[in-house]
Amino acid sequence: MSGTNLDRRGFLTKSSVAFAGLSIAPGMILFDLAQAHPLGDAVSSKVRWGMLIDSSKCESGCTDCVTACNTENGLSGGVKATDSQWIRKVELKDLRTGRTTFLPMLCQHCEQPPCVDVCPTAASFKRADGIVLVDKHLCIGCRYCMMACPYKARSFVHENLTDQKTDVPRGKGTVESCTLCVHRVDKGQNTACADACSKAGHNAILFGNLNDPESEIAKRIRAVATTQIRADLGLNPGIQYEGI
Amino acid sequence: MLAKSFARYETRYFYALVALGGLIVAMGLMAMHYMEEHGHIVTGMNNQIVWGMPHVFAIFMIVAASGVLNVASIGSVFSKAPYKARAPLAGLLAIALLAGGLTVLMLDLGRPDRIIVAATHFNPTSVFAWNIVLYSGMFTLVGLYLWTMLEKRMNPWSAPLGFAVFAWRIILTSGTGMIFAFLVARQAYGSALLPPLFIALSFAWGLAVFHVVQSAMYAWNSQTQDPAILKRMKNLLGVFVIGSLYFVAAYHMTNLYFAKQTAFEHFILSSGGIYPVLFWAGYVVLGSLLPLLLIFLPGLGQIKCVVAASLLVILGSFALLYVFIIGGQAFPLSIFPGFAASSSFGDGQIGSYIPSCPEILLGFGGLGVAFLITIVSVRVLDSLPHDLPSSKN
Amino acid sequence: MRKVHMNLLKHQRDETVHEGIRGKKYSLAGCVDCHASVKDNNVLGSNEHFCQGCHVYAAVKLDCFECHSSKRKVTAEVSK
Repeated sequence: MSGTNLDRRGFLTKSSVAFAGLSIAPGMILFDLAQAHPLGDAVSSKVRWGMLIDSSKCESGCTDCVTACNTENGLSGGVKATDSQWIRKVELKDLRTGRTTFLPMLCQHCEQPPCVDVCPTAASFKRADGIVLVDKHLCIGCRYCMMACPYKARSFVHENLTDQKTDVPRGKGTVESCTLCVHRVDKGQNTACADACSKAGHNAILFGNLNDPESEIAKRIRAVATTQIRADLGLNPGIQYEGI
Repeated sequence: MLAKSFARYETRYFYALVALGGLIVAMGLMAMHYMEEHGHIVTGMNNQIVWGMPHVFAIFMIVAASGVLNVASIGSVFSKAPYKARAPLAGLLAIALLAGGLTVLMLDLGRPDRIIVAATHFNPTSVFAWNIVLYSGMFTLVGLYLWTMLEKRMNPWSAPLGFAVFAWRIILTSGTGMIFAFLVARQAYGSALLPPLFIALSFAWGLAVFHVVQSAMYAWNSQTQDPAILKRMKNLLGVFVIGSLYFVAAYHMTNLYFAKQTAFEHFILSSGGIYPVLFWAGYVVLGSLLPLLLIFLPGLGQIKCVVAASLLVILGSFALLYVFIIGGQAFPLSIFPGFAASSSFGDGQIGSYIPSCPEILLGFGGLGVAFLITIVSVRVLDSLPHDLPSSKN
Repeated sequence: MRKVHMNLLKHQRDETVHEGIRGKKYSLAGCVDCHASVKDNNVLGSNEHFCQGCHVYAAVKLDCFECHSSKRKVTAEVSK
């Protein structure tokens, strides 16, 4: 543990020195360090993963993000009340104007996640890079996090499962939710839903590092009006929306 | 004649009761095994209604466990002799109910085999984790308290321990209320009124359980209760029922006043199908008004009326908890205020919940645990209230 | 290894789950990759299979594969 940290500190110092001369803006240093997360290293709080979802680009009738999520994570795709759904497409009708919008709803990866606060065994936790996960080795299946989540983002595994994906362990009696495709993100890839949305040509889901001022997502959040769902709760979700 | 033959076979009756309790517990354990084998798919619970019937039973028992201690507290903290005589029974009942409630809560977990993790990994920000400490502390304190009462040499310590138990039980019931009070986003919960509401409810439910058990014990031993003491204790039950009604009313009135909460109140109090029926008929009429009549109406208030009133209060408590826990989750979470939402995951829809046999059996199994502990311990320990003939203070 | 493999796995598991440290030596997927049977790419199935065989012999409950995949990843993905 301490060895790893020393390695990382050494690495950070070296790269800081290397980049100090080159960078024009201080943000540049942040950018380069932020992306440098070798597979064997611990994640750092210099990164905060998030999404910007443009609901005006979310096509009616398209559920590619949901399908991609199910395929990637080995979910059955069933929609019974006892089936897990990590991402769902929500249809919103403005009660005042009657305008209809669509958006994908998933774990909002809050900065102050209520699920983490209430979990008795600390199985719900937030990684340094902002991804909220369930350590299923510690989860006792009390479902208090599901009561606490303002977004109904979590599912409880109600039945025995077989044929889980190697990268996505899941099991009966524990709570689960969107992992922000942590196994892909750690390899430097996009989330499955964001990739599927681009592939379908909609580009409604933009995934990236909110802490890096030069990232596409950060630039866009600076440029357009965005909203967080239930912003009144003050949880600062990493998933943000525009066009609602 | 009847009393004579009862006395003759008393031991057999006792073992029959033990066997009955054992049978109920065994059925609860079988239900739990079935649930663990197949997963929660065999219960009525789902991703919308995540807490169901087991939680209704468990929370009733935990709240009543702390409430029943009130009888002891009035004796120890406020030095009332008739209540002091009842303190050992109250302590035993508290331990029995708490054990029953926790059994249900633990066996309903998705991974009951991992319960040890709850002890080895402790999240200091979790109310659930605080409650684990509160429950274990309660067992210890009440155990010590019983020791000071039943062991003559320890008697001097009884008063300070009684006070500690009193403080602990107030905190514990608040903790139970906080489990719900700290849920930030749910319309039904997330209110600072819940801890005091739970304390008021615990007073009534605990005393109701106490009345039932005490009357059964007196009848078993062919004794009659001192009418003066019965009158005091039944009036106290009446006051507690009124107190509970007051807090329940305050909770709903607050919600009715807030525009964002009126849809939820409309659901719970009028349009929500089973929930308003259970609330008005179950909790308000059968569980509160009728017991009040049985207690206070001139000409009523004898032992049979008090026992009936107590049983009705217990029935009403289950109705109220069902409405509070399951109705509170059935109403759709307000994720997008100002929008009508719909999705494949039940957004904007009333959640459906049909209690299944295994989860109800599990709940009764918990009651069975409480019952077994009670009848065995009142037999081996001297807990029948002995009132001094002249105790009229 | 017979005596301590669970400790190595547990240590690695905590680092991977909580800190995102991946691709290290003692990952469960890494174990399965080498030890899975050549016949059906699995570490479970019969007492001939690597994990199951020993765990049945030692009468120790094998909890890992209730959640984790017991199949070799490469083939598991191809066979889909």
